[in-house]
Amino acid sequence: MGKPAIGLSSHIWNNNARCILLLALYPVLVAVIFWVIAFLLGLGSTKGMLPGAEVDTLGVAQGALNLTLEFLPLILTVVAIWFIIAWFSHSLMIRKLSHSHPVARSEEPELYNLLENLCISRGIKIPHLEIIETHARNAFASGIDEKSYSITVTRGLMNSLAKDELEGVLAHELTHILNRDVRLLIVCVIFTGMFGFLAQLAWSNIRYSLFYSRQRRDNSMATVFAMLIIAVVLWLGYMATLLMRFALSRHREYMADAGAVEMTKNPDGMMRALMRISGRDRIPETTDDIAMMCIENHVPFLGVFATHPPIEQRIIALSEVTNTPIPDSLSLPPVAKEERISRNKNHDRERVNPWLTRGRRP
Amino acid sequence: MSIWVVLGIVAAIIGLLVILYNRLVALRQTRNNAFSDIDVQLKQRYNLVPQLVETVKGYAAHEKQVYENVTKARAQVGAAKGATGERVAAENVLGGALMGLLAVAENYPDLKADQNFQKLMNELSDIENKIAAARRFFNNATAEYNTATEQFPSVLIAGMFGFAKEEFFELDEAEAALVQKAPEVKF
Repeated sequence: MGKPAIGLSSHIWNNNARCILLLALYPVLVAVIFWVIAFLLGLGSTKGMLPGAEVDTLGVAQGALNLTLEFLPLILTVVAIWFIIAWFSHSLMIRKLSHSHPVARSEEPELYNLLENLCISRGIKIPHLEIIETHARNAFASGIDEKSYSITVTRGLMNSLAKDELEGVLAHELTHILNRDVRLLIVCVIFTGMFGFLAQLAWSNIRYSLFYSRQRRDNSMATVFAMLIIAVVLWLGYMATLLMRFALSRHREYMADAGAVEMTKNPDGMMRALMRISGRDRIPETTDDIAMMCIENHVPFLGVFATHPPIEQRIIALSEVTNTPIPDSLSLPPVAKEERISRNKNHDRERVNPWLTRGRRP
Repeated sequence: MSIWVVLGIVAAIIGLLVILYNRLVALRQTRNNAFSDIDVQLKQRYNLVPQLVETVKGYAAHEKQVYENVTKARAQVGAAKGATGERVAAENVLGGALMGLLAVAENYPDLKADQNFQKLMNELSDIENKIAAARRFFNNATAEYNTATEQFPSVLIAGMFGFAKEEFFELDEAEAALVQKAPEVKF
């Protein structure tokens, strides 16, 4: 279990290399998907024109390849435009996906203070802070450069963790930023997220044409069929980008935990924080993309598709690395009001969205 | 042919020297930046002292010795700008004097209940926490720089260009007690 703290700079190097690799592979993937669509459409139309005739699969494949090469400049331009959009508005997209809002220092002075002290001890610029108004307990970091790095915490986390536990969570997220894990995540989620976006667009179009345009059904059947193929292929493309996410190292959580303890010098607080988060991490209304970025993402299903190691293992690892006994999870008392961070009362209620705060899972 | 080999080796050595030299410069610069981080916080503490003294004086006017200590220590800090060693020593004396001031404040319940005093104490505890954090970064940066000046290939460069080992920002006991003490005085 001695893995976490060592080899940090090689981890950063790996992350940077993976970022570049993902960005470079992405246009290739888009081109391949374009070819598959062209091939399937070509196959479909030949069959439609000459029913019963022998289909020249190789010829269709060749035609699709030519078409792809012809459209290659267009594909590259589209990808480039998407990258530019992603570069300038990834923060906004993340904010919209997670339903968070930025907070000013005057609104949450103590939260800012905790984070600022951690940043001072590492000699880095303080990231932006954002809050999600929900009962769930979770946190994530995002951003690709010093100007856009931000840390998002949920209201539930702030209301249920003691100060030293919250400091551990913030230090964990700060370590993700220092390790460049967040940059890789943003590249995975936003930059290579175009397929998910298009797939959802295609699906909604199909649903629309199936349910709302019944009068022109006869001649639109072929279009619907074509759309269906496109949608399926886009979903496959989306799955391919999901596979790309295996580029993410699952050790990164262990490393961030270890880095957090190195910063706060308080392994007990970090372990207690993980225990309090455990089982209450699911934020309703956010997508899997965000869940993947969080400090804990509990996935049932034997952890095959897990983006995070089980929280028990993280606690055990922390306890072994730091030689600290594991706090008793059963006798963990609720945190008293004095031990939590106090906040500015003026900004308390106005922003709470009742629909987001209702979903409370055991 | 062999001339090119020799030239290549010489170029490689020069390149290596340049890299080592630049690394030392960068590390020294990081350390200097780290000190300016501490400096910001120390200056805030320096500016906070007169207010704190005035507030305590309002309740405990006759504790002259304590005020004198604090004022003298503060003047020393003001005079000691520049050289790190001297400055650190002066800051430590000021920390000790502040500790004495707080010890006096303990004896006056009315003072402890004073709103303004509480606000100042919160500020002081915040500043002390930040000084502690900044000092950690400074000491890490110093350790890294010192290691670089002692390691084998770079020790040659360090010797040639006068990269000397630098001091850490150490706390003396009184200052350490102040860091321990300050957060506790919150009400």
